[in-house]
Amino acid sequence: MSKLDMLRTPRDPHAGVKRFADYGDEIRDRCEVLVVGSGPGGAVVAKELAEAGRDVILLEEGPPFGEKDFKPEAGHAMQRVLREGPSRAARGNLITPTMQAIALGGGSLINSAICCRPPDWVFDKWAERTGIEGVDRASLDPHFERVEAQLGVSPTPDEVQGERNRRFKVGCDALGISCEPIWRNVRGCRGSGECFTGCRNGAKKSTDVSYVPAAMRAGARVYTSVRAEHVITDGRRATGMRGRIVEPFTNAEHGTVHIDADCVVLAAGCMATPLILLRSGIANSSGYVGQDLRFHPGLAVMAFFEEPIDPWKGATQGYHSLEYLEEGLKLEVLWSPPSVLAARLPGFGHSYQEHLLSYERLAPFDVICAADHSSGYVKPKRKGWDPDIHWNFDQRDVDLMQKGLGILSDICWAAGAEAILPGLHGIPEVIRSKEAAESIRTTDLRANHTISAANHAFCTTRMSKDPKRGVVDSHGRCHDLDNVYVSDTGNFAASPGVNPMLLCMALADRIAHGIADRW
Amino acid sequence: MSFFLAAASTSCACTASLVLLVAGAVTLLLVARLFVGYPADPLSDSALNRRERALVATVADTFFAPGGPIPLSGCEAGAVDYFATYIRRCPRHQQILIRLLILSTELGPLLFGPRPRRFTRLSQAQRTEFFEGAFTSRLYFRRLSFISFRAIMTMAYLANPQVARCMNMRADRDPFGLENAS
Repeated sequence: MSKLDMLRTPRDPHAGVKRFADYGDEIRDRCEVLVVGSGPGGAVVAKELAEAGRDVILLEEGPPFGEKDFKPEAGHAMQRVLREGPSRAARGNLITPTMQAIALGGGSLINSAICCRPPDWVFDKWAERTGIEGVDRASLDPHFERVEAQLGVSPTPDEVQGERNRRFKVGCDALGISCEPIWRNVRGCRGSGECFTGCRNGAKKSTDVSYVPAAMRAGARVYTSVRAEHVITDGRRATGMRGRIVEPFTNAEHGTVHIDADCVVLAAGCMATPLILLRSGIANSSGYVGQDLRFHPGLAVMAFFEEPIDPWKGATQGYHSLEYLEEGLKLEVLWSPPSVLAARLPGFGHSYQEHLLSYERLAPFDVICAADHSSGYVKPKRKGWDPDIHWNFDQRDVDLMQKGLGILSDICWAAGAEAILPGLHGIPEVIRSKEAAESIRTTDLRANHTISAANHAFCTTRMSKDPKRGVVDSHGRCHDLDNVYVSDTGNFAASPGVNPMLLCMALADRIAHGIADRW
Repeated sequence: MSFFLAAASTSCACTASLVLLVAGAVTLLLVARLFVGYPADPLSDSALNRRERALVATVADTFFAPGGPIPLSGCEAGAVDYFATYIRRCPRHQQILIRLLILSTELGPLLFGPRPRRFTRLSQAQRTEFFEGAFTSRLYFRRLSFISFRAIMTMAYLANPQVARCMNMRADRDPFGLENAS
């Protein structure tokens, strides 16, 4: 480790974190504020309230991961860091792969570190949808600034963009489409492109190395390998939480956990928090807990170039275009482990091997869609703590996505691609001219003609002004309870239009200060 | 009359027995064609039983056939052991789904052709034909099964360092040499 690296991160950012090996048969504790989940929503609340002098306990079901624990091999990484490994999927009119991390730091450990403030009109749509008031860019900007300062958010520097990202910019520039370096919570990125399997350079400021250590410095206690299961209530008040100690990776259940608390903040993620509420039988007078699940579905077009691109070199996602954001489309460079992206290559046998051999000349670009017409739900399965996820991809959103794919195709040709792989059923596997690529726009595309991934999830405990139209108020407090809050993307009233992490953290910052003022 | 009745009755009984015998033999043959003739289990502690292992090996060498532009077949790249490890690490309900995927691939040719045999008994050309049908199928779940199986196999194949070298693929923590520069 270089001297500069030592300055970047504390020697052991997880020092003091309680782990599975530290536990006996039972955990009993009490605190003022209990926070469930150490991802972007929970870690911010824990740190802010601990710094405000509150006695805070932070629970996390997953274990802590250090730089040395990360392996770039996709299967191994996903099976360790993701709940249900790479096989979690939403059922509906298509099977849509989705994911949720189980680790200290939650999703921030394995996302692309994209930090993007949503534009003001996003909140107008939220207000229109659930009548929510007082949540807008102006009121959130101070919270965005605090979070960005804590995480060191900055634009992706040119020195780590690499050719894959540059080609996207070349294509956008040639077409006059706006394109900008993505702002990320990264310090000292070396462009390894390994965000998805965990940063081996320790450059990504995921919450486990930023907010959680800060919370602990302010006195918060952090228990990992603890699954929160039931909120204990007495009338409109929560009095604590029951749970289980769970073994890392096997999820084998061990001793019981009982924590008394004056205030409970659920930040287990929008696919887990509703399960805790539903199994606890609370906060659901509106009937919206677990309902109205929204995703940002994503699709990629792979561009092949004549010369090597070395796509494995460069920031995971270095450039994006917000040109079509108001229409519901965000265009960006894509990267994930090569074996995962290979699912979009056609064929098998020797022809598939040929495609793999030309991987070094490939650059994947993707479009994510706000999918305002598509929705679903999460509910508990009969057994276990994994959610039953259901989501339908509405044809109007498929049509919108098709438009985005057409634009991506144009960007590929403008960037100098010699061929593209659209990865859509019913369209030629390899397209070698811009004219032929018009089929991407003209084909009768259906949801199940695509291999869509559901990237971001939200709205399962949506905020509303009227308690009949949502689960929490504009400050994240459950309408039905006096001292239970939700602080994850489940709070969103609709799509944030952009990648959700920064907004989730800004809302968490606001929720924490609301709690500090109230309690 | 009674003689004829008795004779007819005996004849019917004989015919019925014969039909039962033939049906039994056909069933036995079918069962044998479906479930017998797999190689012995080389690893008793493997997460895959010998039938599953045989199918995974056959699929691996169909997805990544020997003699291709990358000079390693799926089996040579260690895809079967990778698959076994992968399934062992999966939660129980996913193990069931993956086993169903294996079974549906093995028995798929009985439903979709090209020959009414289990997958492992098809020739290489017939296996290729079966997968071509799956990849371009109008049936969403048939396409999905193909893509799911190929996705796991691709993770296995690309995890082999020799395959990665052939692709010029490098997992480099510092591809631009910034560590030394700093």
